[in-house]
Amino acid sequence: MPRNKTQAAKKKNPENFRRSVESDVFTDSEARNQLASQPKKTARSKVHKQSHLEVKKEQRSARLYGKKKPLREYTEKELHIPALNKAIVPGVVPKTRGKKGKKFVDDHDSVVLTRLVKQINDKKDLLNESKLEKSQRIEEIRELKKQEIERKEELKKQKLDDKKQQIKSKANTARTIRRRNARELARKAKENADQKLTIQSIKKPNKSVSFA
Amino acid sequence: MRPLTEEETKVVFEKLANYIGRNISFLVNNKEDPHVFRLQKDRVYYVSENVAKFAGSVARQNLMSLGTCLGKFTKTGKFRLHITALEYISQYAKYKLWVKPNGEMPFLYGNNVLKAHIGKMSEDIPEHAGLVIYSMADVPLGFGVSARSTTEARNLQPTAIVAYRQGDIGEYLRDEDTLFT
Repeated sequence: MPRNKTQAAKKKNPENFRRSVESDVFTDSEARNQLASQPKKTARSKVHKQSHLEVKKEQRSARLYGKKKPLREYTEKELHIPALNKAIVPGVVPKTRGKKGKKFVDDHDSVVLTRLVKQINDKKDLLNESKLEKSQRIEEIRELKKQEIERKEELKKQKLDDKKQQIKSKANTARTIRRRNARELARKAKENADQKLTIQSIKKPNKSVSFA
Repeated sequence: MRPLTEEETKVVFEKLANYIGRNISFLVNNKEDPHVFRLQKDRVYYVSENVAKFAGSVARQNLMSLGTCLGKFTKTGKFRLHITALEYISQYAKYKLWVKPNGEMPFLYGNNVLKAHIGKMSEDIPEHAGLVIYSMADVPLGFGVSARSTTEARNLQPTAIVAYRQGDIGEYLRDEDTLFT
């Protein structure tokens, strides 16, 4: 560390003890106008008016070595200072310049307000529609299942009825056959009886049995 | 007291849209008596414009309330609707539910709405939709969220919950101390 940059040296440097205090009373133009004493408005010239001897000295050296040229001041462009690289810290984004503070929505800004209302309601409608659709679908499926069960029950009932009908009709036919046969028999018997009667009326042997 | 920023307006409108859907535009575009939204200490107020202008002349710490309080922002940034907003929600409600006289008192005491208490309800209510609860004489009693859709609610037991209570006018008595502070 160079000697004049150490802490101790800085503390010792008399320039750091003293600070110039320039009161606004003298620096501000309006305040200065108000002062009772108006010191000399034109400050003393900082240019040193050379004495006779000094003038002669300068002229002597100018005769020998030429006139003193004013020190040339170079601009930054002429000096060709290379652009210095700065380290790029990753992730640090330079702060964008912008106005700080909250941006309010104007009371009668119908554009923004209607836009918000539309946006929000479209989202909600989508949700609601999907819910309704889902519930409708579930209802439909439930209805179909109910119908299927009903149909199965119908079939079973139908089968039972058919069987009952069948048995009933079997009994019926059997009954009619029986009755028919009985009628036939009765008729035949009647015929036979009639025939017998007629034969008997022609010849009627009296049979008698005697025991010894 | 200040107007709302865009994000705050968005949050408030989302909550309101649950109950009144696209009718928010009636709240916003009132031509005869334009109303505005104002925010004072986390509470959102819906107030007519000239009243809001008068309220601008009251110092911030002295201004307690103005117009109707719609609700307040919680510390986590969510917006909670208060019962004081019922006046406007019931006017523009999308889904409604009417409660029989025997079901009014349980609801006003803070219970949820059961199937046995329902008089009638709107036809096409989806599940978890915001709805407004009325008595059979069309007096708004409060608002809530549907537990089941209308079609499902038809096949429910009488003791099943049909709507969850979110706010009822009984709160004016129960939460008297905290409602306006």
